[in-house]
Amino acid sequence: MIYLDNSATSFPKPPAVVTEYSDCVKNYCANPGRSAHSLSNRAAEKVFETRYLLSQVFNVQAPAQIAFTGNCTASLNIGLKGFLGKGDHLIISDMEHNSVYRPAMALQRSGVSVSIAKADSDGVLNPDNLLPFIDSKTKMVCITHASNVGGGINNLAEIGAALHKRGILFMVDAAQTAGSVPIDVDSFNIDILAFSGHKGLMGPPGTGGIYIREGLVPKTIVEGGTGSLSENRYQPDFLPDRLECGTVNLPGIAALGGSLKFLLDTGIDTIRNHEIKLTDELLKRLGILPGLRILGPATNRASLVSVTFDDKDPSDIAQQLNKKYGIAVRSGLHCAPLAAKHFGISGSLRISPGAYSSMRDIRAVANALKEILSS
Amino acid sequence: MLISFKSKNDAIGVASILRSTGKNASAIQLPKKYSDRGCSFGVKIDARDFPAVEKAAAILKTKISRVYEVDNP
Repeated sequence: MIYLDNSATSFPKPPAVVTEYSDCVKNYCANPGRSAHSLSNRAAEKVFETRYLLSQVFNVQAPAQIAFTGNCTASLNIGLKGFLGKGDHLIISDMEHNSVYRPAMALQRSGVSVSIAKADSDGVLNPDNLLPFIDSKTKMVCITHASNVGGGINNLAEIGAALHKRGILFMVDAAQTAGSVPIDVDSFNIDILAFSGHKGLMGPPGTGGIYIREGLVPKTIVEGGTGSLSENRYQPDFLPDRLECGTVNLPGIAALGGSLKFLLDTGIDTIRNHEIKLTDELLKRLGILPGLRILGPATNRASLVSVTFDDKDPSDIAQQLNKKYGIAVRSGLHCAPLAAKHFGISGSLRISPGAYSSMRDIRAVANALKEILSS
Repeated sequence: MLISFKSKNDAIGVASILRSTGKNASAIQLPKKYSDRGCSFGVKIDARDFPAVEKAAAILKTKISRVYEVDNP
């Protein structure tokens, strides 16, 4: 199988993911941060280690400002619902995944006003299209770092600086970029960063997290035991305890730590350059095929290329790629109906190389598409 | 010597950093008499390693809550 569906989840995983997961389940799968016996402490240290590695990936100064969640969607819900309430104004873009769009619409029902800024025709958000929406009630801008359909990377530094100057919270959905495109929360002026652990960070599914700038305290949407301040009837006001109630996914977090070590040893820049080469080659090879339209910008994109066809259904082609050629890609709306509307499509075929993809994989999918389209 | 922190996460982190530099440190649940609100976890260290604790706390951007001059809590 040639796996080119890394935007959904990365595969294969670095060997350290398997060894760390296995080591944890076999040797120290106690409850971290509850008891103080040696196994519990060992578990807690592993959680700390992964949190610390994440702080290095995103240039977070205080690792405790990162909380583990089950996935990026949970993180986005925490960020949106934790800081917004009746009377507030939120701005998102029309490139957002349902993980932002749906909670935003739920908030709208409870009295938050929501504006949707339109990206340019290539799917990249121009700050000039975003900033005019700001008014006195605007509390937060929440946008994706890179669209999971068009792949275009938004200029976070420019947008972050403009929002910081105006005192508006800046939340970023890094589902498609964390681990594969450098992110610096300080230089981008990011107040809240939501990320998945199993995509570019190459950890197992069921892992994700949220960074919240020091001094910001979200409302909780889930409360419970934290192993701290247990005598208090209210949730602790400090991170990560405020957001980490209940037992965390210890084996998943340990395995994520393994993939983070792989990422940091390899270098995110190295992986980024590898994926740029693969994506450029894919764009070059697909660009000459008749009857095929490439979505998104020509350059500066995440490691994904979505295409549509003049007279063929993307889902049929994805099936053929799977059955006849053994190539795994994704078709459909990609949970981003606003982006589909933006590009004027009812679905697309998405090819997303990852850190372990090769030029041979790219040639194989391009040749297969050429064959299918000429048949 | 016992050092208490705001959260268990800080105590675990500081102990972990200290041990990674060869110090003898462990995170422990503080006995009730040393535990004030929000400081139920601490780090047990050799008193000579206190500067290393301060350094580790600075790395984690956290602060020491209290210091107890006891060897065997």
